[in-house]
Amino acid sequence: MSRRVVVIGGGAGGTAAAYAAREAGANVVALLGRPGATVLSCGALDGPPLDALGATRGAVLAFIEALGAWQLTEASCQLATNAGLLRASRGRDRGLVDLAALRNGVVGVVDASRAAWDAVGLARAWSAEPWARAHGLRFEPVAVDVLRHAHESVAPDADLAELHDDPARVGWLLERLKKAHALQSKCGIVLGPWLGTKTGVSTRLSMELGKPVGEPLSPPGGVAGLRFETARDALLAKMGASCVAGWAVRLASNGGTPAPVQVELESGETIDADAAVLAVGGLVGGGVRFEPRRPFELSLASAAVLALRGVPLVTSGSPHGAPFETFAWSGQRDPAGLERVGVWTDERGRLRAADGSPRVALFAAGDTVADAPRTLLDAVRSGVVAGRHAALGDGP
Amino acid sequence: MSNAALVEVDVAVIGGGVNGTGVLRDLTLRGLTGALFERNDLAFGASGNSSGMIHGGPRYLTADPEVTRTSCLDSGHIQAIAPHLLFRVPFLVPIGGEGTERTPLDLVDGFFEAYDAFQPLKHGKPHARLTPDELFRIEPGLFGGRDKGTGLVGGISFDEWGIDGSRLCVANAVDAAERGARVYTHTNVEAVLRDPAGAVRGVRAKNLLTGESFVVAARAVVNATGAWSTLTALAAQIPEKSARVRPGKGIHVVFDRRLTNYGIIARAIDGRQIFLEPWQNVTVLGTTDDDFYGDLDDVRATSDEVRYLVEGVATVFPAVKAARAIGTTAGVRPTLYEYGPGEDELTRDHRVVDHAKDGAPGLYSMIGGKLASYRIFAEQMTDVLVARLERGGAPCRTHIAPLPGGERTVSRRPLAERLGIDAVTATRLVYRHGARSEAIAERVAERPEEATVVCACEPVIEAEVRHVIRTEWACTVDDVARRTRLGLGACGGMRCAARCGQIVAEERRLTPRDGARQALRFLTRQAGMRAVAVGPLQAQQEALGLAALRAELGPVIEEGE
Repeated sequence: MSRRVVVIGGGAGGTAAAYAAREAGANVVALLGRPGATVLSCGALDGPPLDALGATRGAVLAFIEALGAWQLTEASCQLATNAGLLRASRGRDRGLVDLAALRNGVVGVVDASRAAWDAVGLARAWSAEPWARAHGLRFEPVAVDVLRHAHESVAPDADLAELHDDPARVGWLLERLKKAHALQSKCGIVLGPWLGTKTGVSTRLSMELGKPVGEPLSPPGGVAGLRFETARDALLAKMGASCVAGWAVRLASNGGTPAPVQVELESGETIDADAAVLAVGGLVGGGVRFEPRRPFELSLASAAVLALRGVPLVTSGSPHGAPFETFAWSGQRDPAGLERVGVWTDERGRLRAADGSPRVALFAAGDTVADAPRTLLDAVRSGVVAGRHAALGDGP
Repeated sequence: MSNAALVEVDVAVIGGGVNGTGVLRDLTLRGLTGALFERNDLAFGASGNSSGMIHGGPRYLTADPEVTRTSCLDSGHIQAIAPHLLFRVPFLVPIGGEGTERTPLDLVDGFFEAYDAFQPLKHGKPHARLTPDELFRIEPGLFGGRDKGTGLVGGISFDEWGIDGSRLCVANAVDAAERGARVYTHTNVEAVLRDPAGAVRGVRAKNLLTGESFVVAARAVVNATGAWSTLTALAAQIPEKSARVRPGKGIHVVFDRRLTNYGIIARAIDGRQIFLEPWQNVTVLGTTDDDFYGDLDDVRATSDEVRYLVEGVATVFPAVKAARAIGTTAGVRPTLYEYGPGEDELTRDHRVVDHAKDGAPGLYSMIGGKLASYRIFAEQMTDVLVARLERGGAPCRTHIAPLPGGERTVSRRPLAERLGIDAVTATRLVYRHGARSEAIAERVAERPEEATVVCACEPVIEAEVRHVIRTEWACTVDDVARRTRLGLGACGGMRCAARCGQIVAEERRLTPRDGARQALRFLTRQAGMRAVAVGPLQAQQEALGLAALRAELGPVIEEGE
């Protein structure tokens, strides 16, 4: 009989864990309670180089392939940001325009009259970037009326994106872009961050126009996060995972049979499983809270031991709580403590007890893991490791 | 290195705080020539990190009535020359109950009756005696709105004026520069040059951004370096003790909005007077006063100091604990040196020290003082300079000649319409630049795209950023923030610092990467200043900010730049 794995958290780490556990033959229950760092992410896929993924490389690539919303290439991508910078990343959300292949030309920035979309300023700023200069690229605003109704000029990005989930609307947009004379000589086109809550709009536009077309990075909480959620829900459904919308308040493990793990939900319901993967996020995602006297704690009750820089955290010695500056902003090259704090785990993703020994049925993935770099690729990597081991148990 | 002077002036002023810029302005108004050297930025020290008030100092009334009188008188003069920079801050002094003023109401009432005599000097209103009911009506947040069991017996109100200390310094420097003075910021004076007889003949300075050294010849040198005075004495080769101050560190906690419409006076656990003050768009909680022995170029608040203030004022205004702190400021007062008295008992008076007694004729130190009395201090210093140099006989006019921006009032609404910006943006622009907003409006008329709002919290438009870089010696993102408050609002610069870095890079012909690096440095420092003030709920926001920053800059932050 296949093992039952419950995954708490629906971000990059949790979804990768769910996928890997299912691939390894487990029955998966996914708790998708709250938006976290992945949903807030901007669409840039940062992380270690593919070569550094070692044995997990295949599993990481397989997950990204299955998810469909992201693209990871051997060469790095070049993305445009909302603050007027150009920057490299390992991969991207497929809605984002990748400028890496462009040389010696002009990229059109569609100047739609949207309140939060400063095409003129962005074109000027991107053109001044050293990468653009080195590759002979310039950015020019091109006024194209890509809004159909007056209210669209002030609608939030997500609402405008949702309108672009309609293929007819995308067809209309395509005609507009084709008809714009000034765009024809351009080697790429940047539109604002509103090209659909489902993946595929940028890909379709790029194919039809024969040049890279897409968005710059989303602001935190923008449409790239929405597209991840859409893709995640589709993937979990396809895998046959049972998804629960509630959130866990307690995680207990007595190590006994037949149910070594119990997860108690907000609703009072309990889910029994053979193993659990904690992928509730770090401080950004809300999985870890700053609780001055502890000085950090997990947002759900469990026996997890929190650690920082490889050492378990102890209760603060100050009656007023630990001073936050001890953890915030290291000022050095090291990431700050608040970005590293999390659950203490071993190399398989198993939670460690206070004495350092691994717990049998409890795993952690993503930003929940102490000292893991807070990037999407690192979250996926720890997710596939934890998911696979959770599914296999103590077997081979 | 050659000691040949590039420039010759009458007076070299060291220090770009309010005393240094004030004396530079005064001496140019009297027909002397001058150059100013500032190691960091204008208003980098105590002037830019003060409580932002040109208060009459009722605190000093019993011990030092003369300080109160000169403060009030000069407060009135500053209103006349820079009306755009001042805003009224009415204060409440609740009496009775934990954390309040412990003097009996009748005595406090009598005390402020005496202070009322000084109010006309600074166009302030006389105080009012208030019942507990009246206090709660004016400020419902007092004691969390609970009258019962607080022991409150009443209170009084009194009137003060708020000011942006950085703008005041910049205005003085701009005015001096327009009369021919030279202003060198980010420039350290390495040595005060002296002739064989000991008399000063100039300074050798080094631009800390470019590394370039140069010499300026001067017949007199003024040390207006505040808490840095001892270091300046070393550069002048005079005994350290001859320009001694007693550095007193003071911190403020800044909250994201105006929590009250009135300043509130409270007593900290050790009985010291502290206050909560609505200031521009934010609320400022201050202040501490502790002897300081650390690095003057990097003064920071600690969480101990923050807790001392927050716990203290929370006894009177509990909502402060739930408010969102967006940062802290820290500065070091250059109080007159005295061994023995507690920090609060030290006089806020000022003194001109003539270093002829130390064998350095022509060298003077301005020691002590406060924001409110900078003008009179500058006047006294300039009188001494005029007497020594036997030049510049024109009478002092700093109390009547308007500062740049104070020449006339500018209507905000027509300006908003002309620039195509909203009324709030126009109001803030006029506050900072007064009549000089016109110069910014002219920029926008030529380049309409510069009406774009760069910092939405304050707000600040692109043309203003470029204006302060071109005309007010802003060289870095930090400098722009000091002059415009860009990035010092609720979002902590997360939305605007990167863009500001780009503009600085463009204007100063740096690489865009250098601009991004400056932005990152600014954000890191701001976050460091904020970290001591955050509570549990703010920690997640802080982490989010970091994540957003990394998303924006990508590998830059990983490379640790």
